[in-house]
Amino acid sequence: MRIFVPKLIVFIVFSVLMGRLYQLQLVQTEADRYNYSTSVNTTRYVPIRPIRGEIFASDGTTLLAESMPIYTVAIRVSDLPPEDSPERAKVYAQLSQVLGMTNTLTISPAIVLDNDKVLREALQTSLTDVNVRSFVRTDQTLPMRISVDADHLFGATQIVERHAPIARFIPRWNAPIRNDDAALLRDVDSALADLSSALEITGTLVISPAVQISTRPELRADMVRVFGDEIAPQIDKIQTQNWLTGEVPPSASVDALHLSEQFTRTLKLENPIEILVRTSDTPRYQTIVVKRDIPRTIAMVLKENAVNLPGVVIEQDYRRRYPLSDDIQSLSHVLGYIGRVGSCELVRQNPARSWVSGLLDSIGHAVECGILQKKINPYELGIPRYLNDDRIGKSGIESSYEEEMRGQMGIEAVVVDTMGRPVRASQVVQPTRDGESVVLTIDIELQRKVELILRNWIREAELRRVNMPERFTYKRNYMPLQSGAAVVIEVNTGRVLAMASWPSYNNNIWVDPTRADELANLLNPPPAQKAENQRLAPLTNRVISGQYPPGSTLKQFDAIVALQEGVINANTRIRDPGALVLKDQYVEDRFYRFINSTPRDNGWLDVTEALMRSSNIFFMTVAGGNKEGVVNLNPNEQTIPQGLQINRLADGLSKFGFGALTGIKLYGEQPGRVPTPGWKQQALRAAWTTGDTYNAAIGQGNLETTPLQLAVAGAAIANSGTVYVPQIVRAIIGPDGRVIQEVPPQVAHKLDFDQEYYDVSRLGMRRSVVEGVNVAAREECSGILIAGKTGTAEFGPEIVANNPNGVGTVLVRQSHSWFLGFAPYDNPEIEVVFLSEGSGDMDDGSSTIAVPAVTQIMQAYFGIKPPQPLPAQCQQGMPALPANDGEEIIDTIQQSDRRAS
Amino acid sequence: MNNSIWRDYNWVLALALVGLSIFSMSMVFSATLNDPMTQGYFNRHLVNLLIGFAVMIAITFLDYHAFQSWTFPLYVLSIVLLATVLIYGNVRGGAQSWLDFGMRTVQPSEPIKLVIILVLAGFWASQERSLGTWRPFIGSALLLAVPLLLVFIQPDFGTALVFASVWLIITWIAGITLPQVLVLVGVGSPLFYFGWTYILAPYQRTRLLIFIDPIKYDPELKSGAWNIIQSLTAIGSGGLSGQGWTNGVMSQGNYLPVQYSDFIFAITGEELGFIGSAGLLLFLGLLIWQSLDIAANSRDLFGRLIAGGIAAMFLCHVLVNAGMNMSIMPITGIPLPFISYGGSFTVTCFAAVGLLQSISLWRRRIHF
Repeated sequence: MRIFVPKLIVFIVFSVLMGRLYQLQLVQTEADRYNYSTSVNTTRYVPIRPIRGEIFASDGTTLLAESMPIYTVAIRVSDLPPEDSPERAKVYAQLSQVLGMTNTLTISPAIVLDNDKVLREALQTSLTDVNVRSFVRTDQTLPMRISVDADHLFGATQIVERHAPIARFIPRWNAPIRNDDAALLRDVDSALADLSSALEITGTLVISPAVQISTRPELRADMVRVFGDEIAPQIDKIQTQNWLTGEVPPSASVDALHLSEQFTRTLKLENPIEILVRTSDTPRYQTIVVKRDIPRTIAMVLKENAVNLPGVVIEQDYRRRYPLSDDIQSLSHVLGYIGRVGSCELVRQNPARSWVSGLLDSIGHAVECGILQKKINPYELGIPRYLNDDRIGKSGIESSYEEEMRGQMGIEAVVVDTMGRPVRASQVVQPTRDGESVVLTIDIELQRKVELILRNWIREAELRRVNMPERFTYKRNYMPLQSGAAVVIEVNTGRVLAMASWPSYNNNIWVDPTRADELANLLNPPPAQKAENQRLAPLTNRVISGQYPPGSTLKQFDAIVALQEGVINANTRIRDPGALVLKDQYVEDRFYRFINSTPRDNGWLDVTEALMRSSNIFFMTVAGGNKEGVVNLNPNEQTIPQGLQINRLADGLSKFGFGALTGIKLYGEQPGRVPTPGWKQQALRAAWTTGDTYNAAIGQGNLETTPLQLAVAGAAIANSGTVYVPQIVRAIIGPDGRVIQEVPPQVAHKLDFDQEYYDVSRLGMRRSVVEGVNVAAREECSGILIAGKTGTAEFGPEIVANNPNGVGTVLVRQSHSWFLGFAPYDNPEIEVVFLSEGSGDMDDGSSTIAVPAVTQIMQAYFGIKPPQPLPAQCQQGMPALPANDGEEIIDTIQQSDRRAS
Repeated sequence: MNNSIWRDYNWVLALALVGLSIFSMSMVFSATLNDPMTQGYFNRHLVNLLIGFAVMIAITFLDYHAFQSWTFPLYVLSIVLLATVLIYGNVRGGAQSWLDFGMRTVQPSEPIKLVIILVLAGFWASQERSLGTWRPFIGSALLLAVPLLLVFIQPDFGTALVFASVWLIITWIAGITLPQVLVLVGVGSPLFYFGWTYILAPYQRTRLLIFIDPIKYDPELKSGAWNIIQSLTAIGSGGLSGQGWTNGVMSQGNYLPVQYSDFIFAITGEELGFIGSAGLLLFLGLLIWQSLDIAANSRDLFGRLIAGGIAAMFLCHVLVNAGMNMSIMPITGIPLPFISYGGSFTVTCFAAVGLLQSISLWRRRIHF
């Protein structure tokens, strides 16, 4: 009983297995189901890639990023005529003729060329281009083969023993049929010959090379001894084989094919495509690439003749190129680039079929990608949106308009059997839709000039640094000045007309495979250059990603906030003795000195005068009051007891958009920062002081903005109260050239300040040009009515430097030069921001570098030439426009470096 | 030596073994013929067979009672090895079950199958006086639990299944009472439900269900349905006499995954047809039947349980492997005894036959 039950189980199990085997193999219907002929069909999806949309400048015609179609010829084996058929050979021949691929013709034996007159004439008439006489002749002696019966086996064994490896024995049952098979067969050693003899096996004795029979007398003697004298005539006649091979030019491919079909016994044509197809290991329903990047004309010819060339497939792909980026490198930051899709991007972009798989996918890649949110689309077809070797926008417009420009991948479904053979024609599951093109707001001519102006003035700043007079030696030791940014936006639409950040890079190196080494050098510079690359950050678009203290450019906003909050009115005068001395709120007998840029008593100032003179003291007082803790003012001068205080100031500045993203649709925008007591407590673990309020009011301390934020906020003053979302794209057009979407200007929000206060602020900025130090922008020098505000914003650590007056040392900090201006004053059209990094103390960089730079940009925009000659009171020695070409600029900078060192 | 020893030698078992070895060499040769990745596997397989043969002979002439005193150290060693595999092992085919010894990799779970049989048999034999009570029933279940858990988390469901069926058969032969059967069902069912619902990942569940309807459970052919369809196609195209040795279209095109091991039965089906694969099954059936005969005729409980356990191990392997090839069992990668390529298991199988022969030889008290 105990053993009986297991035996019963064994019996049942084997009965079931046998039954299943019987069912699978012998029952007819089941055998049909799982037989090759009607096998299980599966659907394979074949992707067809769309062509990426292009990018145009604002005129709608200037190409900034183009998709150059490239054509690839491929073979799909399943569509070819049957193997070894003349039709297939014809397809190969025709294709090689069109594609210019050389065939190889073999004439064997070589002697027929002399003997066969018909062949010779046929060759001459149809292959006129081929010089048969130049064909390479190959001679080969055939191995001597002697059949061995059982009687002579022992003797043959002896010969093999003595003369291996020249002599070999090949047993009968796999005696070679063709010559070259003999070489493939394994050598049979003498032991095996013994065995053959024991088992009465007959076979063939092979002597290779056969010439050895005549050169080795003992071998011949052995053979005669074993096989008798009658063998002598056979072994003395060495048989040879010879043939001619040569190339047939592509143009003669088809003729050569006809010939080879005519003379099948003597001519053999080898087609390179045939060899490619024979040796490739691709499933039959997929394509084998024959030639990449063929000219369009040839692709068209092949497409038109598709009926005659079954199995030939023209695949279309594109190559990205940025035609103007070589010339205007600053476009690279705007346009960005595309690159191979990364593993995290694949996870992010390809929708999941269910939330479970989405979650698993997301968690599975959490280590390298962080937690990503995935879209869920239960109807996702068999092919994901992005394939492993797809390209995706990585930066700039290419990244932010990826959705629009990518298009939709086409999917064809092919039903194949288990051997990979298609069982019916492929079916389009999802049609290919090429990407949409994008028209930028960038005015390409203005962009070109803005970049030149930016580079010119950065060079000017650098020249000033290296040529600093003796008493400012410490300035010569600054790092080279090589960076800056400029942006031009339309005041009444928020559209970005030009955006330049320097240093830049050429985005073509990302997409041109031949320039891969330049890219590698940029991404992974040699150690000596690494620190400099990090400092200069050529990949960063400073206009949207650079966060800088804005310095005095912020005062125009302070003014409006203070007027609106009633801290001052347009006529309120505030005492500015040139400095405020503030007692520390917490520590006894510690004082802080807050000063103007020039140590001069300004007396009593109203708000427009304060803007005109760029008085720090005025705006510090407005923000933080001049009563509490201020020790260098008489009580009757302490007219502003409280000021705005930081919260009202921060609220007001935030309304202008500071501390928040402007919302421009460009990859990598940074928000900047408006510091508040709460922020300081959290980030720096320190209490807010009146000094912090003072610093915030003059755009110093921890207040940071991007150049674009300044431009948007400045435009809001110029247009009296509308903050626009800056736009970089004007329209989206379809692959057929039809406009799909015009992008209208987008208002972020309306400011709720009283209209008259904008006028006050604008007047102050106008006065800073007309009456202040910004002479280059004055109408008589520029030809335009410009208003604006400079800024000299300190950054970096304090440096101990020799006092320029020659006595002792002073603490100094490097500073940036800013100018934020609009024009025309009476009816503002454009707002321009210019930043030259580190040049603030290069002979008052803000008013002598940033101001003339903005003036030139505005002249470029309005098409106004500066007066010739410049009046004497204007700033002289401005770099001319158009400037020298880029190479020379770089040269100059290198020279100045050399002079500096 | 005298004649009597050869009278007790199980010649039918030996015959079955010869038949299986011939099948094994032919099928591994054919399965690895056209795949550049598996060149040299045939030679290594011959070596494995030779090693297995030597081990078998050695064990045959050893009194199997010698193992009874080793069971405890062997058991501890097995647990250590399984734990080592979990910590340091290489992952192959989805499970972490290989130990790399430099020259060769070894899959310890294969010989451990045999060790578990010896351990369980030894334990029951030591409890011979209290058969039918709860004590040995629970004790053997606890003995099994640790290695079972260790292979389960590798995860190697095939081996876990083998352990479980070995325990079932041994417990059955040793004697199980009705209440014990009820308890087994009462505890086993919720455990199974819990494991299925909470421990198995969805893809693992899919893999286990695919065989019911490959296309329905795995429409994209990602989780193993492709394997099954290929296997069914291969077997189905074999017909009565097959396409001829080394001539199968699927086999020689290497369309079958791991065709030298997991899917070697499909190759047999395609190339040797119904005649060949039924013959193969017959030899395997003969082997298992003889094991149970040896169990029935064993001198003592220890031998009976070993033989029964070995029968259970072989039966489980055959059912799961051949069943998977024919899509009536879930996909778990366990090899076909004696036929599949793979050193650890081949040697284990031969050693098992050696044990069987030893039990057969020692079934009378006095021999020499």
